[in-house]
Amino acid sequence: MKTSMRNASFLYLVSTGLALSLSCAAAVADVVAIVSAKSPLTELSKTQVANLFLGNASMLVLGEPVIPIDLAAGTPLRDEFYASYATRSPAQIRAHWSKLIFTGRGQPPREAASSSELKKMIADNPRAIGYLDPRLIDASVRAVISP
Amino acid sequence: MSLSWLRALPVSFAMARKSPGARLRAWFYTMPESTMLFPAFSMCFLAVLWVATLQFISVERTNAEGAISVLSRELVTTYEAQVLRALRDIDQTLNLVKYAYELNGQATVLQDLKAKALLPSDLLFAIRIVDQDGKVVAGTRSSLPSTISDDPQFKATQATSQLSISQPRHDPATGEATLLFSRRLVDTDGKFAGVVMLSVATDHFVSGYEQAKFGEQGLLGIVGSDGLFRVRRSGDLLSDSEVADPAFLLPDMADAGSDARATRDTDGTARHATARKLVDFPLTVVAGLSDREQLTRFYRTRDEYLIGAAGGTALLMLFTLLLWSMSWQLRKSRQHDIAERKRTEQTLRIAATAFDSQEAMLIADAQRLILQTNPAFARNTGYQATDLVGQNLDLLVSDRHDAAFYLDMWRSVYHTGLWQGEIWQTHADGQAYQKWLSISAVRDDEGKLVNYVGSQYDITERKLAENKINELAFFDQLTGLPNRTSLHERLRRIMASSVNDGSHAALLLIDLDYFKTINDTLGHDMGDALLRQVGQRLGDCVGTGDCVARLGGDEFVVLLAGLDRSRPDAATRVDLTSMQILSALDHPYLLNGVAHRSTASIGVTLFNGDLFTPDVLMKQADLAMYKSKAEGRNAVRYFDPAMEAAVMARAALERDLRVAIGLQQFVLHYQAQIADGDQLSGAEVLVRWQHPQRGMVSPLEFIPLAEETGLILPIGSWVMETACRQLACWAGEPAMEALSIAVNVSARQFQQTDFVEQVVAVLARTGARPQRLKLELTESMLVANLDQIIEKMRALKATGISFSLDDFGTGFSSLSYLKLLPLDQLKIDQSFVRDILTDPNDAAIARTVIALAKTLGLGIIAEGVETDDQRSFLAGAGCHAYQGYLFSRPLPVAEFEVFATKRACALAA
Repeated sequence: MKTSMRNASFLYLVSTGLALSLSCAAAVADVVAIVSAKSPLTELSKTQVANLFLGNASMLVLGEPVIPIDLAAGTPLRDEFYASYATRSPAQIRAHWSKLIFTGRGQPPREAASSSELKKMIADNPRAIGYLDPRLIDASVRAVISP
Repeated sequence: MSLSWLRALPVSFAMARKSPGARLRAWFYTMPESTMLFPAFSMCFLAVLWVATLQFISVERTNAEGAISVLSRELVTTYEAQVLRALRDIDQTLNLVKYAYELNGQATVLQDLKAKALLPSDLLFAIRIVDQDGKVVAGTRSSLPSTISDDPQFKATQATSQLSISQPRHDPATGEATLLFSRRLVDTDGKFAGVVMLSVATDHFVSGYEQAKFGEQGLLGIVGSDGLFRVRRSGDLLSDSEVADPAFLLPDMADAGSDARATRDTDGTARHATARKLVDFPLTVVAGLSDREQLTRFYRTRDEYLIGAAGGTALLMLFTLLLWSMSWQLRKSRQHDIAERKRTEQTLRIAATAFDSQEAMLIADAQRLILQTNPAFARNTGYQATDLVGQNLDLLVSDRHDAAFYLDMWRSVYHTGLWQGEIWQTHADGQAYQKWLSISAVRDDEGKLVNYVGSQYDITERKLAENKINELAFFDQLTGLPNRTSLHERLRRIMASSVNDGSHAALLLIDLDYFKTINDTLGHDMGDALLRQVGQRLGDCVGTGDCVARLGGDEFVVLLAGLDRSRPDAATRVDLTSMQILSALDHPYLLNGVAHRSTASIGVTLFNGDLFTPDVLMKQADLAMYKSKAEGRNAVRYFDPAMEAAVMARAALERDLRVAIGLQQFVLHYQAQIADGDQLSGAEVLVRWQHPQRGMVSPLEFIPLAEETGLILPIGSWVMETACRQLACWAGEPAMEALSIAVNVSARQFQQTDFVEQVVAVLARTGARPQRLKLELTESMLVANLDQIIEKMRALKATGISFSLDDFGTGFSSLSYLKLLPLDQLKIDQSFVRDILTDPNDAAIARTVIALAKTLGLGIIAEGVETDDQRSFLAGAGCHAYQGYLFSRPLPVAEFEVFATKRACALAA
């Protein structure tokens, strides 16, 4: 039984690209990276955020590594986040972590069961970083993405 | 004739001989062919090149494969560690869940564990807890089926306390493969209480596949103890459940230090792979690298080597081919050269030989400057080659030809390429001589005239020979006078002019008298000398318009032409010349310092016009000459028709004579010989011819003819036979018993080699007493071969026969040899006796002969005694025997016998 990983990625990119271009204006602010309102982090690029989430880089905040908080797999916002910030499909993300886990180079971020739980976790932890529907942003958290 | 070789002649004669250089070249040409040498060298070089290249490649391959082996070993080591960790993590999770679940039996155990972050990321791993009936009591992923009681994994797990690993499962919708790991749950009693099961996508186990390390066709996979791949990745291609290379399961593959093994599994790709059996799990990990990819650099290097080698090979082969082709060309051209050279050398050798031939040769250039001459030319012309080379051919011209002649000659050479003919040339000593010259023009390939070749030979000799042949044909060699052929020619010419102008001409046939005798006695040299002198004297006697010729032997001819139209006047002129000739020839000839005399007899025929052919004229002159001989010699006689009649008569007589011999028409007559006191001593036999028509023919008439024709021999032997028989007959008669018979023997008879034997035979046959036989010889026969004659006479005399010399004094016999001959008697010839009383000379001769006989002790007899006075005179002179009509005429035998008897009676009385 054979499957081609490459083909799957390719199809996803094409479809995602289409979706992005079609809903460009509406989709811009559908997901946004957030940190605790107490976080010293002020401004991060999407790539920096993505690297933090993909375990490619780490960042120290207050002498400790930044903790990315993810939504559970299968959550639409999560998929949107990875598509927007890392331009990766869920399968790619899965493959990415599969590889990192298998080779022992890292573990995926902790997951929050929901956006509200995630917002709470972010708000509680100045080292945490997460993402949220911008409409749900309140005083406890703030977006770190430069406009 | 091709003369092309001549172009090269002047410069290349030396090549005809082999120089040391030529020998060296010849040796070089026999060397092993360089055409084979180049390819052989090339093959050797190529062999070395390829062996080296392949060796390099082999080394490279070994190195590359070694590198693959090392790399795949490193990879499998890493992979082994990763798989082990992953499996241990999984097993640890299962054990954790199992522990927690068995501890409290709560379905929420998974949530608790997850909340404590004790479960692996559910992104990859799904965990379920199934009760003993196969009903899912808890799961991290809701999408999974709620009951798995029929699942083989569930059953397999139920049976073992070990970690159970499933075969890959495929999602019917996505086709995604999953592996199930499960452990049995037990209750506190240790009874089966369910299963905790973790599922994970198979690709997780090969997610360490990195293109950078494995390439597009590397191999990473896990093989179960059943020999099937649980998962397998090559590039982006995932697969499972395929049969793995059994070699991966061999025990030695499990060794950490084992080398990569060449493999070619289901996808057909050649790889070097290393397998490692895991220690705690019934699995084997495999990491392999594609030969094609990993050996790319090697292949590139190898290809570079191969291309280099191939290029080198091609280049070398091209070069070799080029060399070989060049060498082949060279060789061919050499062979051609050799063949050419051989041909040339041969041609030159031939040419050189030809050039050194006896024929004088000369080569000149187009400007007629002499380039070369051969030795024969030097001999021929007297000019040495060194004198001639560089000189113009005009040097050799002779003033015997005019300029036009030479102009024509060169024109012919130029236009036809050849001229030949007789030409005069000036010898180096200034003398002109004749030669046969041929000049050929030699043209080069463009037709340009480049050389002249002249060959010539001296034809002076040939000219002399031609003259000689001419002389032989038309002139007598001995005297240089025209010969018979030439004479006939002249005769015809004279006859023709005689017809034209009516003049007379005369043919004088001159025959020397007794020339044979001279030739016999003095030798042929003297005879020839005499003939030459005769020729000269004859030449002196005639005018320029006349001609002297020699027919052969002692016969000469003088032609007198342009005589008067009047026959008598012409005859007068002929008479005059004839007399001059006789007189001229009569003078003594000085032969070898001694004077000899000779006379000639001349027969003349005078003619006018062409009434007679030359042959007839010759015959006429011949007849006249014989007449002149017959009439005493040293005379001139003219032909007249009567002569012809005489000749006819003679021919008839000869014919009759032959018949007479056959028919024995001869008889013998006996003439008495009277000795002193009138006593009959014997008889001389005289042959008579009793011709049936002519009657009795005188011996004077037929004996000369018989002598001439040789018929004297049969006649003579008949006479001898008859006389002897008569002697034998008389032997028994008292009156005749004492008589001797004298037989005349002719010269021809006596010359017969067996004459002695013949006589002895006749004596024996007839029984005649030799003592009664007397042979009468004539002195003319005694001139030649005196020794033989004496020998024969002695032989006969030994038998008792006696000899008488007849006609003594008529010839010119030398008295000196008289004493040598064993004679018994001399006979005084009747010609002396006839006038003995009137002619004092004859008397003197007679007396001398008688005195001579007495001196020599010989008997003497006189014949032709007709009168008593004659007998008295002779008796007075001392002669005591006689023969003649005074006593008896010749008588037939019967009458003679009567005469003898009477005579005997008378004496007795």
